[in-house]
Amino acid sequence: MRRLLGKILGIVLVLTIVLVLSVSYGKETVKITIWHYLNDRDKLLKTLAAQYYLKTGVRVEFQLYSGDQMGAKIRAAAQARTLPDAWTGVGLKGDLSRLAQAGNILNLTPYIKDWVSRFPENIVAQVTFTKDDGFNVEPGTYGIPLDVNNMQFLYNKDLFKKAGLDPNKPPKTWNEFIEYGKKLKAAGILPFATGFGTWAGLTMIQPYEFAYLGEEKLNAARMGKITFKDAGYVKVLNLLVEMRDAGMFAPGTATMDLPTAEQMFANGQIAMIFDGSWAIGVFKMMNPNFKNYFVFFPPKDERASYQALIPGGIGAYFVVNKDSKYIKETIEFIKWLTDVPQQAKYAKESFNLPANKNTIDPRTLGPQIAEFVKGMDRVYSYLAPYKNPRTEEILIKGMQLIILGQKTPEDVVKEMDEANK
Amino acid sequence: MRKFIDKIENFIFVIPALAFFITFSIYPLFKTLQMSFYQWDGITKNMIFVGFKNYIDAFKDPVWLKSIKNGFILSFLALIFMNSIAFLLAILVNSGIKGAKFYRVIFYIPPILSGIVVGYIWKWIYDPNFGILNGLLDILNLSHFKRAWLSDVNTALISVSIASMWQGVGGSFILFLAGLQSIPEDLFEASRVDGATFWQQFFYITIPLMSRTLMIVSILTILGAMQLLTIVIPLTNGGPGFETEVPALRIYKEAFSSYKFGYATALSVLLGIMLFIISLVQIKLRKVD
Repeated sequence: MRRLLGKILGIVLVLTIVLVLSVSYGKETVKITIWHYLNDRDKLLKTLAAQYYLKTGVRVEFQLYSGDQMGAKIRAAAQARTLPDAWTGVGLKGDLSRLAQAGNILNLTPYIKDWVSRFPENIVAQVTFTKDDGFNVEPGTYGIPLDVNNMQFLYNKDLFKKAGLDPNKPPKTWNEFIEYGKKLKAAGILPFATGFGTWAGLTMIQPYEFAYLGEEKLNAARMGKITFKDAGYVKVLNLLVEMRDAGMFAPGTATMDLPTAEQMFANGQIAMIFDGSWAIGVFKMMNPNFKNYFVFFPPKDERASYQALIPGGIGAYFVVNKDSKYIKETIEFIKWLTDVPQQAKYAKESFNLPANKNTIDPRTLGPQIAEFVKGMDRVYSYLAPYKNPRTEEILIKGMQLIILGQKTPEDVVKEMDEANK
Repeated sequence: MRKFIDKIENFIFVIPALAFFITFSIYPLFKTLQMSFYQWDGITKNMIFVGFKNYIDAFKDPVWLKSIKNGFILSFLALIFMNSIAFLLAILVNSGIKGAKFYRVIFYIPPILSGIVVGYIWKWIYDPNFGILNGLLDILNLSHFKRAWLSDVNTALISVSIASMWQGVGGSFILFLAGLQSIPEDLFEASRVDGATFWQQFFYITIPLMSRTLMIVSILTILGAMQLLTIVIPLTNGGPGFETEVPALRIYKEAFSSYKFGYATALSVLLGIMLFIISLVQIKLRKVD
């Protein structure tokens, strides 16, 4: 009898252990997956995620992907409905609107009503759709900004000095810019490079698109309402001819990607680059000893009638998957990440301009950042999408061939007009 | 009745494999064909039926036609140079040279590397400012040959071709080596007794008995060259201009950069048909031989 009782108790004990283990094993732990392309900030984001886990028990996994390929990855995942809980948005309203129309991204308005006031209005506007904006998307805010940025020229002070130029006087006019380029070249220094092999080359000529065409004509041409030829776009591309004839482009610039140009700049191999405010963190990662460089606004071209406006505004921002199992938890995490203490840490460690306006004054982070902050007032607010997206590719490829002397600005403008019909 | 039951039984065993094949091969093929008749951005639900418009546009698209032309140039160069080198290496390794096993392993390393990695390795080699190719030319007092290999319209495609051949040569080499090793040694011995020279052996024994391998290698070479993608992205991304644009890259860009998913699938179908016809012609030609 005693043995039988022992057996029964033994069985009960085993069953209890199995039951307890299975319950605890099956207990759902929240794990949020976020895709991003912020190569230089991957470690920082993972550190912040680890802090959040200790604080809340919610696991956040940041997965890094190449910036150039991330757009394709998102579109492929959107088709297969395998998007993560959140990701750093690629592109602006044009790309966002497609994802919103397809029901891939969440209208965040009801979730961040109180939170959104922490960010500058013009920044939030870049990820917000309104009723009659032509995008056919349910009105609302679809992104939460992590940082803001803008793009300007940067120069190496040591190389300027070596070429006999005043390291504290960057070029202010286009003529000076070309003259500086010639002097650098004469001193055996490679004057300039940027990512003409990809999208980055386009951003270099954007300030001059605004300067020569003005906002109205530029957007009309992009939308196919007038031709690029009639808008006077040849003058914009002629600037590349002037740079080429002055010998300003480093060999290989025509097909160079931005990281290669950044590496050359950080290594002191080129004197000037056109890059974004995020590059300060990138240079620090590439060469921690490289500090003697500064920023200058695109030099004024006396021949242009309008004010030059630079690319920028919202930098990295998060969008949330509409089908995510953890919508609430994901938004809570992004709110935490964009709250003052985390934004301060983010700005201090990555040298990016924080999106939360209540955070530290970024100007305290260094003279280069302070100069980029000044540029925020000269960022353009709207750039219409091309009528045919391929026009952009025609322009990128055309710019490459202009740099190589294989095509004239007139040829490229003609091809752009044909594509954008 | 028994036979019928046996057949049903057999069919039941085949069902899982058949379902797998239909789901992952037949259905995607059908879906691709279907999508090629639509105008679709690849994300939204708004698909517009456009009939054969995508196919007609493809034949009028100069960039697509240029990419096909580049694909053929790459195929031609690979067929001639890559396969000649691979064949030569296979003959050398098969001739019983010292360290044959070592070479067999070494030559097969590039094909197992990812195309992206190979692309970056060669990008570094070709770097106009600090690459080892221009550095080597300096050392050899041939500085006048230095150039931006990947940015120069005259050398970009050739440079891409060399990088892809470097990666592909090992694959052809292994197939050639397997082919050479399958030729019975007594044929060579008998020919030697009859006084045949090396070249006579090569043209009258090696080549005829290798014809099947040669055909397979040439089909695989063309298929590989026409579908080149991963190596081109880091090297040139199709530039400068459209000088190194290749069919797979064009399809990728149309789908994921220009938001023309329907058009991209039409290009995929056209490329698939073209490669199918090329393979078929090669097989038929061999049968005629």
